[in-house]
This record gives sequence, structure tokens and C-alpha cells, in this order.
Amino acid sequence: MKKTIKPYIMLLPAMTILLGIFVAGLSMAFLQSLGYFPTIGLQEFTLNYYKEVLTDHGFLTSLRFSLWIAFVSSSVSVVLGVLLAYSIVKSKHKKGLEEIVYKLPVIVPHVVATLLVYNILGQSGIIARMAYALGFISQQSEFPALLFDKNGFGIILAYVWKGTPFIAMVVYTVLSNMNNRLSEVALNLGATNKQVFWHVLIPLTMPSIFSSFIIIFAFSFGAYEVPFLIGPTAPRALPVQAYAEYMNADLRHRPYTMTINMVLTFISFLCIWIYHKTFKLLNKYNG
Amino acid sequence: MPQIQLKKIHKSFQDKRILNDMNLSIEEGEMISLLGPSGCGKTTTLKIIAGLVEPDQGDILINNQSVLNIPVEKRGAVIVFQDYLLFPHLTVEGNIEFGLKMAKVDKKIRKEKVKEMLSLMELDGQQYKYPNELSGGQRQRVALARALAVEPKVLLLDEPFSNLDLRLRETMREFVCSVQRKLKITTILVTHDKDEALMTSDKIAIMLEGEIKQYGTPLELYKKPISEEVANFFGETNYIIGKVEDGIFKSPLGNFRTTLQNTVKLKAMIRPEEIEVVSVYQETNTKGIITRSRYAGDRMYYMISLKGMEIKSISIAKEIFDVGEEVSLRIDSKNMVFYEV
Repeated sequence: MKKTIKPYIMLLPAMTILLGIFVAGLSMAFLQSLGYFPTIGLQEFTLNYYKEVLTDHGFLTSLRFSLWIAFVSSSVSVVLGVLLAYSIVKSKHKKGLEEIVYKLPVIVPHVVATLLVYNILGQSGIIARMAYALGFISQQSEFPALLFDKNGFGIILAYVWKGTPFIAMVVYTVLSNMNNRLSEVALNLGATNKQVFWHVLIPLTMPSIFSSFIIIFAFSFGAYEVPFLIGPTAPRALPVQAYAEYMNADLRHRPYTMTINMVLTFISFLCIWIYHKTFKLLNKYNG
Repeated sequence: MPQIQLKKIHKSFQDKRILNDMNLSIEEGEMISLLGPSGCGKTTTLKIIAGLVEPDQGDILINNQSVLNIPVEKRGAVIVFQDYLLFPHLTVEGNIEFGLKMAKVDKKIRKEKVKEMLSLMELDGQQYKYPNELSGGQRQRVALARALAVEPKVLLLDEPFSNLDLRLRETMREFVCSVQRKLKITTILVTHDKDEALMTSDKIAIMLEGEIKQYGTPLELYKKPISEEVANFFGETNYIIGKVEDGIFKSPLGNFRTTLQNTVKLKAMIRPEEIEVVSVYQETNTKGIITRSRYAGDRMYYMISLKGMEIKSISIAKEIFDVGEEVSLRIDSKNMVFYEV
């Protein structure tokens, strides 16, 4: 008895914080999204907020915008990251420096990455200045508005800058630990280098590529600072929208906020589930 | 005309010489062994033939044409590796058809080939399994099927049986030999196991320190090793110093008829199984005292002290002699091999 209960007791402090804050916060948000917010006199459970939010044009545009940003930035990061990792593995010379340099963006915070993008791509940024100095443009407004644009180009770029090295790091580790001799076998059986890449290396790294895709997808879908700083006013990214609703002085807006948050949470949980499934796939042939 | 020829191959890795002036020719349909201790360059030789490693010097001819400039994927020399290296993400079927798929062979033909290979390798019904669901022997057969499916000009087997347990090893050895005979595919087997080489090969190349020391039929290598190092590699030996006078080899073990010219000093190699230990009452010219005896079921391993020499013998365990017992030795001199001293 003592033995079975001991690990739970020892886990208790950590679990209190983890479950306490997480579960309590989540249940409160859920209750409020259902219209239960006694502080301001809302006592009745209702699905009206969901109905309203899920049919609201503004919300749907924001959702689409967030999904677009997350999907495009994660996909581009995956492609670039895999190519980067593959070229580092393939490069013949010593790998001291390049192994460190490509990882640097991973440790830079997103806010700093945003500032970098702002300083480089803004209409008063470095590229714009260079274009002006070289005589390509004669005034600031002639430089294309890459930031704050409704396709989220600046946001995507910031996420790609952060995501690519992360993917590369994961894939590089997998690739360099992978049995190089499997490539030799494939070549020996008549595969070209390109075929080795597509038929051996990619399938074998696929589970890790996919799970790291999910990680950066979930992050860029739910994170708020980048679209807040360099995103357009319309459409707003979903997390920014949630933040704006939350900051609304009128507390009656709160259930809407929480509904948006629940949607964000639901999609994140979906990501976790997919992540979990890909690990099962990985174990299918490695177990 | 030999199908495969290695001419003066040299290879070093980081100043360490692996292959030194290696020459070898293999006839079409032959099964030969590269036999040698680990680290003697056997696997490197296979990789050079396959095109996975480039030689520093020398040439490789397949069907009388140099293949040095033909990349690995077009060379048609396929290796079956010691640890099989099946693709873990592909099923048995996917593994077997891999080479054909890479060559963009029509799906229907691929399926036919897979079916043919599955039945040849006695793997029917296993095609949808992943490698981690197979036993060692099955993985081995899948690896072999995968290599044979591309119909290579040469099949290269890199210690293919060493990961299997003893009984399975024998079964697989027989199996591979029968497949080889059936398909008549030129095969090079790399092994450090001399029994394996002796039992499976048409010819054996003894490799020591990156060189081929002798190349010939199993019988030649065992009975007529050209040097002491080759003789030693094939197991226990006795060396006796003597001299030849008028067609007689005179030695402490006795006098034996020979066709050799007169010499002052000569060393004769004689295998332990050519020396039979018999009862002292049987009249022979050589007598000694047993100093060690080991019982091995059907055989007896003896060490006999004789005129200050230690002589090894392997005899049939019909009559058993004890340590300290005086015995007679019956020596069969026709398989003696002589070396200059």
C-alpha cells in the first residue's frame, strides 16, 4: 500500500501546480464559455456564445488567418529545415561551426525575432533603406508593405526564421544517428542519391519531421506576440483577437473570449493527439 | 575468361594499408570465399567490387570491362550485409521489390518477382510483415531475396551467417548454397570461418594482412598450403625439421620416401589427423609418450612427447590412451608438405 501510494505523494507538489493551474484555468474558461460567469450575474448555461462565435464572420476570418499563418510557416520551415539538415549531414568538411551556427535562432526569443524581421523588412527597414540608397525607390511608401499585410507575410517570415533551425536540429539529430549504411544498401540496390533521399531518408525521418511540424504548428497557431507586433489589424490572428476581447473593459465580452480560447485549446489538443499518433507510427517499425 | 577480375588493388584508410596489391579472378557461376581473420580487408574488398569504396590504385573488370567509372547504383554487384540492413519502414514485400522499384520496373513485373523470390526463399505468407516481426533466419532470407531480385551480375555475401545460431547457420548455409547452384550466380562469400569456406566454396582466397596469400580449391588449400601462415590458418599443424638424402626425408619422426632433391635442411608440415596414435605393441618406427589427451566424442586430441618434440595428433576414439602411456605413431607421409628453412 505504502509503496503504491509513495510515487503519487512525491509527485504531488509538481502535480498541484501543473494540474491546479492548468485544469482550474481550463475549467474556468470552459464554464465561462458556456455562459456561467456568476461575478457579473451570468448563471445560465448556454451554447449561444459558441453558436455566435462559430458563425461570426470576424471570428472565422481570424481562424482562417491563424491557420494559414501556422500552416504556411510550419510547412516552409519543414521544407527548409529538412534541406538544411540534409545538406549539413552531407557536407564533407568539418562540422564544428555549422553545427552551432544554424541552431542560434532556436534560442532567440520570438519577440526578438519579430524585431529583427521588423528592422529588416519594414518600410523603414534595412532592405528598404538599401533599395532607397541604390535608387530603386524614391520614398518609403514605395517599398512593399511586407509587414502588417493581410497575408501575414512578416509573421510567416518571423516564424520561418525561428522554425527552420528547430526542424533542422531535430532532423539533423535523427539523420546523423540513422544508420548511414541503409543509404549504402539502397545505392547498392540501384537507387540514385535522389531516390535514397525520398525512399529511405525521408520515410525514416518522417515521424520526427511530422511531430516537429506539429510542435511549431501548434506554437505559431496559438502564440500571440508575433502577430500582435507585426500582424495586420484586419484580419487579426485568433490569439490577438482573444487578447483584444479579454482586454475589453466590458466584462460581458468575457464569454466570447473564453469561447475563442476554447477553440484554440481544442485545436491544440487535436495537435497533441496527432503528435501522439505519429509516435505510435514511429514505434510500429522501430519497436 | 574470368567474369570478375581484380587487378593490383591497393587501398589505405588514413595511412593504414588495408589492401596491398590484390589480384583475384573469378569465373562465371563460381562461388568463392574470401577467408581471413577480421580486419584483413575482406569487407573492404567487397565494398570495392560493389563500388561503395574506391580503390587507391588498380582496376576491377566485370565481364572484361573496367567498372571503376561505373557508379555503385549501376554496377550490378549487390552485397548482402552481415546485419542484413533491411529497411525498417518497408514490409518484406517492400524490401524485396526495392531495387526493382528504384529501376522503375513495372508494378506487375515487380509483384511477379516478389512472388518468385518469396517462394524461392520459402517466405510465402510473410510479405506484409515488417522486418522487426521476423526471426533472424527470415531476415537473412529477405536480405538475400532483396539482393537477388535485382538479378545482379555478382552476389556479394558479407559474413552472412555469423549472426545466426549454430543450427540455423548450417541450415542457412545449405540453403544459400542450393540457391546459388540453382541460379548459377557468381558469388563471393566473405567469412572468417574456415569450415564455412571449406564446405561452401568452389575456391577459397586466403586473405591475411590485406593480401591474398593463396587462392585455390578447398582441397588444395588444406592439403597443399604454399606457406606456413596459410597452413597455420587452417588449423593445427606439426612441423618437423629434417633433411633429404637419396630420395629419403630423414627426420626425428622417421624416414619417409620423397621425390625431393637432396637438401641439408627442410621443414615438413604434417596435419595432426595424418598421425594416428596406436598401441605400443603395433610395430611402427616411431614411439612416444602421451603428455596430454582430450576426449571429443568421436575423436581424441593427443599431445605426444617424442625426442624432445611435442607432436599433435587427432585420432579416432576407438582406443583411448592415457597420459604417460607409451604409444606407437602411424604416420601417413603422402600429405606432408615441405618448406624451405
